[in-house]
Amino acid sequence: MDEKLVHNPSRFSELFNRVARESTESMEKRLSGGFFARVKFEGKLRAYLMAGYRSTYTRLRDFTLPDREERTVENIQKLVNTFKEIYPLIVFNNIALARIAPDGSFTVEVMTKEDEKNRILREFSEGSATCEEFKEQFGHYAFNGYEAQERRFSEYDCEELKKFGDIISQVPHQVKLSLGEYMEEKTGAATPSHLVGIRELGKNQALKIVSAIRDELIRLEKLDTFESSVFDHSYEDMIRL
Amino acid sequence: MITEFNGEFLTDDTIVSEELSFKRIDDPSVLPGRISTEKTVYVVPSLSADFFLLFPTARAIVTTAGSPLSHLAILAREHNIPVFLAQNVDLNSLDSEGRCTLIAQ
Repeated sequence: MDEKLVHNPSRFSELFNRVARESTESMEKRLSGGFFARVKFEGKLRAYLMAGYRSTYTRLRDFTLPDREERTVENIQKLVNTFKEIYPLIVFNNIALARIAPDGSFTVEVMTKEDEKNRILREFSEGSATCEEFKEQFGHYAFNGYEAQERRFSEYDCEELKKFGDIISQVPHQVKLSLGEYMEEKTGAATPSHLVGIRELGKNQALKIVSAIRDELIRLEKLDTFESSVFDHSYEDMIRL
Repeated sequence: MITEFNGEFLTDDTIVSEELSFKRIDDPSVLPGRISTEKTVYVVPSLSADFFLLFPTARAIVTTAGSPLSHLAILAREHNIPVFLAQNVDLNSLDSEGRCTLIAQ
């Protein structure tokens, strides 16, 4: 069974599952479609694995959130459109990863964003990093992170976060290269480590968008009178406002 | 009652045939209060990296959705924790804890 991007989504966050599903289906359709569509897509995949992954890395690394407008609804629209641009990069990267390592039997040689998140949380628990440092870098993450309704780590008490850090500090950790260092060192065709690192970098940026959307929705809830939670309204309801 | 999970390993593991205790975890944010003190099979709804918090006491992780390339499966492989994709489980009707066996098909 396929994994859903958002588990038990709120009405608003169904949008993210839809974007993920449509993006995946569109690419799978090209892979299993007519001869020319398939050849074109295969060519794109080959080019990505040869060198194209490097420009996706650069694009994701340099990503910044769009400028905010005065109107909340316009901001939400802008952010959702940005999500729709970023998320297909993750899907395509996943297809490329499945192409070179379908059974997952490889070791990830880079410190992914997820590893970095765990490292800082561990360091916070052990006293060598502060709660603020963790929140500054990973405050936009959350459990079930693509659910806009979920509280972000920036909204947690430091005591709560320390409990998670205490658990993580029990897991043995390995010293690995950062994705940037690995990209500089391994300049040839894509390896699984490149692609897993890029996937997690993409997730990091996608979660920045979800977190910014959450902020806008909370702002909107304060401005307008909603009979129920703002998250109980679909994206289409929002842009009709 | 022993719950039988039927499915396949997403990691390079063989059959874990002995009877084990399991806990169902739907929401990782409740973990500090739900983590076992002894090795346990955790049953989770997805292979989201959120469930990394289970690693210190995971005997195995059972899920109903995911693939060998899911992030948690990749991490679990590095930490020698079996991940099992169960095809016969309805998480909504599963007890929150109990005893189980993993039957690889």
